Amino acid sequence: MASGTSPELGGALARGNDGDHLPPGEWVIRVAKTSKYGYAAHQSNFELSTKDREAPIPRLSIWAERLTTDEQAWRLTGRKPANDAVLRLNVDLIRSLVPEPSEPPTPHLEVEWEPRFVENEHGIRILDAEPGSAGHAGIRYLRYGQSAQRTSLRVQLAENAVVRRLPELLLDEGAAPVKQ
Amino acid sequence: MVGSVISGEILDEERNRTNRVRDFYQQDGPRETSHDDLDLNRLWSNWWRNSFERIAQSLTSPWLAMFKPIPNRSYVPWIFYKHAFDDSLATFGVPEATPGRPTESEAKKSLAGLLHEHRLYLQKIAREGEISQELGRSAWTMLLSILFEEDVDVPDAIPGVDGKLFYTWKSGEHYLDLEMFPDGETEFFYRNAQSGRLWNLSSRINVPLPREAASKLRLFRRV
Repeated sequence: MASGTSPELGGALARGNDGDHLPPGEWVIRVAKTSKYGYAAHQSNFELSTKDREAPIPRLSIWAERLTTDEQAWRLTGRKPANDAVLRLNVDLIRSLVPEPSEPPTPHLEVEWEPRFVENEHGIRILDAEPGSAGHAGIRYLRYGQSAQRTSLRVQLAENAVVRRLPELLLDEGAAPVKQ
Repeated sequence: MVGSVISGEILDEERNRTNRVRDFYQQDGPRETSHDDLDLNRLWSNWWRNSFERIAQSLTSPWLAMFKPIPNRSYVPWIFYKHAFDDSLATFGVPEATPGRPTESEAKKSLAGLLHEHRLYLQKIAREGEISQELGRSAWTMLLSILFEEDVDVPDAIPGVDGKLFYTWKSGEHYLDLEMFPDGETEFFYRNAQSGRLWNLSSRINVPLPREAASKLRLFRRV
């Protein structure tokens, strides 16, 4: 079920419930590191980490562009100077990708809301109120199918992603020690 | 001509270039200010080597150039012998080691310059903990072995999740990845973007290149 408002309707976008689909036409971003040459995105940018894989519903972490800026996404993902770019993709394109080979059949990639939770001082899980955290979402079904099918999907995501380099000034902030 | 080559200007230029390369590859990591970085003996040695190469190049006639060895094959064993992965500031005697990320046209530069950059990149990501030192060394040796066997481009590289390292070759519709795992396993993955044809193969790092992998690598020969 799609949640929020389509940008084609010109409405505001609101965070959906866990597992709700992002509206069609939305753009999402993923914080990533660029390669040695930095020309384009790489398939490894779309690989789930061990932590992602062990989640109850394995999803690749992304952010809805209309709710999270590049800068906010970078801060929310740990302010790592090595993560020097964001990769921009359209939700419709993500959903349209077909693995190669197409057999055995696998579910189409889906883009779903994944609200971020943090623990408060009493140890109770509450919605993260950090600026930009409302845009957190995930790409699901990247772990389905055979190894070649999964790799081919990641390669296609990389081929279609637009690379936007983060400003050096922001990355310098990550290199500096955090003020207590 | 020789007088103009041996000048303080050239030496300054060489020193600045060396510093720029070092600064670029250390900008994300802790600054290291070991005395080795400013080793004047090494600087002098590189400068003499560069000067001789420039003079030799300027004296080579087009007719003699026909008999010059293929640069890749002649450079690789020498580089392998002279500069181990841990050597902190080897320049391979090539003046055009590019500071900063090369553009695609710059990527067509000399093999030795690109290898120099590649090695610095491996050292950088190993220093930052993205890959282990051991994988960095193995990946470096593997690249030299590949280049010695097949006259291919120096690949793009990127660390993956869980300490993996990728080498990537792209040319037209051809795409080839070499995925190297911390435990020494490797996986080749080829995809033709036009036909959708796929191929993959598991192997070990630094074992003789499998025949099928070699044939795929030949799609990425240096221009």
